[in-house]
Amino acid sequence: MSVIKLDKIRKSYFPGDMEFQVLKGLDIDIKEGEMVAIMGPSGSGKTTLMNILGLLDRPTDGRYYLSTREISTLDDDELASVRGRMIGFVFQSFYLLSKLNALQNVMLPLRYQSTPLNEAKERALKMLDRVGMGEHTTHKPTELSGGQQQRVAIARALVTKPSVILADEPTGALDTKTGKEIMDLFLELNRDEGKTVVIITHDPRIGAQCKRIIHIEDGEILKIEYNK
Amino acid sequence: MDIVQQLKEAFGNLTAAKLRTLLAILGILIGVASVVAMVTCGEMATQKALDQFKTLGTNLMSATFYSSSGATTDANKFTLKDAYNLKQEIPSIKLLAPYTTTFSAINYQGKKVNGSTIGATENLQKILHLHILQGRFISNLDNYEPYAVIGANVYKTIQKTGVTDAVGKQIQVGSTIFTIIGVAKPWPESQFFNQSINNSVIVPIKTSFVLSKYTSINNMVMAMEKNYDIDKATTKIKSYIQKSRKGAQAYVRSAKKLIASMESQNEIYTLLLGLIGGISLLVGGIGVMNIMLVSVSERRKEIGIRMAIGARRRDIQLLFITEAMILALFGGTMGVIIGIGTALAIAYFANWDFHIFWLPPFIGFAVSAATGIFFGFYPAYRASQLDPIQTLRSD
Repeated sequence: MSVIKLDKIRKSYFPGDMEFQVLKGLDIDIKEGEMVAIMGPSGSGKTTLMNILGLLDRPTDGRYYLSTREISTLDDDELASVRGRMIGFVFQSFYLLSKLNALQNVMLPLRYQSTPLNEAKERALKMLDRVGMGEHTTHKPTELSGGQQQRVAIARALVTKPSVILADEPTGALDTKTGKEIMDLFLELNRDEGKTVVIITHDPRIGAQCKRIIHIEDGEILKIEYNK
Repeated sequence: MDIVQQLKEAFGNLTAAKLRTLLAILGILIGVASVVAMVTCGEMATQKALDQFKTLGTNLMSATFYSSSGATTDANKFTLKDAYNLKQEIPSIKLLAPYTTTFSAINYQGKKVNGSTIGATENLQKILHLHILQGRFISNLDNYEPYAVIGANVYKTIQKTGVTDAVGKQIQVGSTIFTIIGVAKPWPESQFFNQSINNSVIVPIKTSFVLSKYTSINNMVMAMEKNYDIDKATTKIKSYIQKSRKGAQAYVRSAKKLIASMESQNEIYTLLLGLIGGISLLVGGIGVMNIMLVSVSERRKEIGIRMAIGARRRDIQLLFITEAMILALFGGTMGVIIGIGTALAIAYFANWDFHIFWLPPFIGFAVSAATGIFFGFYPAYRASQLDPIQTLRSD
C-alpha cells in the first residue's frame, strides 16, 4: 500500500513576472515499510520536495495522496492536524524547544492532538526508552550532546505513530561516528518495526544504506537506484 | 491542549525572559495602579465633601440678604419680626435662625483673639447641631445681656493663659465687656454656614445690634420639615422678603441642591482622574504589545517547530494570547493592590477617611484583562500567520 503517492507535482515561484519552476512534475510512489533516500545536489529542489511531502508547503499543481488521502483540499488547520498525526519530522539541527526538557519535547506533538496528559507522558517515556534516552528524560536540550538531541528528536517524531518519518539531513550536524549511530537507529526502526522512512540527503554514504534512492536534479527525477 | 499545561508553558516562557516580562508587568501595573488610586481618591474627596452634611442633615436651607440698591437702610433691613413672620407664613420651615455677623476686635485679658462676632438666637444651636463643652448656649431670654459663647479656637487661645474653666471669665468685643457663659465644642466646617463657629464669639442677637449701628441680620439658616419642596420654599422665601421689605433681595440655598451640584462636580472630577489613569494604562498596554511583538519575532524558530509537529494556527495564537493575559492579569492584580495602597497613603496625608471602593479595583482589573486580550491579540495573530517554512529557516 502506498503511504505517499505524488502525481505530477509541480512547484513554481513567481519572483516578479518570471516563473521559476522548482519541481517540474514529479511522480513518486513510496510504499509502507520502505526506506527511501531522496538525493540531489543543492538547488535540485529536494528541500522544496520535503516541505511538500511534510505538508509544510502546498504544490502549485498536481496531486498528493498521503495514505490515500488527497491533501490539496485541506485547509491550514486540517493540514496542521494531518501533519501532526501522520508526519514525523527529523531535522538536521534537531529543532528541540530549548525551554522544555527531553520528556516535554517528546510530549509536545501529543499535546497538540489533545492526548490525555497521562497517556502522553507514558507514550513519550516509552519512546525515549526506545531510542536509548530513557536516562535523560529531564535533561534540557542544552545539556545533551548532538547525537542525544537527535535521538530525542526521533522520539518526538515517532511518538505520534506517524505514517512516515521525514528526515532532512538527519546526520548532517553530527560527527561520523554519531551519524552512523543515528543512521543505525533509522535502519533498525525500519527493519524491526516496519516504519516508513524518507531521508533527504546529499551524502551518498547515507543514500547507500537505503533500499531505494531517488536522484533529483533541476526539479526532475534523474534516476532511481535500488540497493540490496 | 489543556489549560493547566497551557498556563505552565506560558509561565515557563515568561520566566525565561525575566527582564522583558518585568517591564511589561510594570507598564500594566502603573496603569492600573494610577486608575485605582486616582478614582479612589476622587471618591474619597467626594465623601469628605459630603461628610459635613452628616452632622447637619440635608433638610437645611440658608438665605443671605442683600439690598438691590447696594446700601442697607432702615427701610430695607430685615428684622427679627420679619423672621418671625416668615416662619408663620411658610409652614415647611421647622426652625429658623437669623444671625448677624460683626467684625470687631476681640481681646482676652489684653491678648488679641482672632475671630468674628455672631449674633444668634437659641435656634442656631439646634439647627447647626452645636454641642456645648462648658456652660450653656445663648437663650432667647438673654435679650440684651452682654453674654458670650465662645468657639473652640477662641477657647484654645484663652486656655493658653492657663484658664481651663472659661465660664464666668470676661472677654472684650469692641469696647464692650462680655461674660462668657458657654464654650462650644469644635464644629465641623460647612460650606453651608458662612461663618466659622470655631473662631467666633456668639452673643445674643439683640446684643449684637447694640455693638455697632451697622449690624443687621444678613443671614439666616433654616431647618425644613421632611420632604419639603425645595423650589417652592425657595420662591416663597424670596417673594416674602421682596414683599416685606422694599428693595430687599435674598440669595437662597438648599443643602440638597448643594449636595447634588457637589456630587455632579465630583463625578466629572473623578472621571477626569480616571481618564488620566486610563492614558497610563493605554501606554502600559502598548508596552505589552511591543514586548509581545519582540517575543514573537525572537521566537520565530520555535513557532516553526511547533507548526511542524502539528500546532494549528489557533494553537500558536493561544500560546501568545495566554502569555499576554498572564502579564496583564498579574500586572493588574499588583496594580490594584498598589493603587489601593497609594490611595491609603494619600488619604492619610490629606486627612481623609479611607474607604475601599469596590468599583475602581474591579474596573482596574477588568480593564487590565481587556488590555491583555486587546494588545496581545495582534502579536499573537501575527505569530499564527507566519509561514512554517520561513520560520524554520530563520535563526
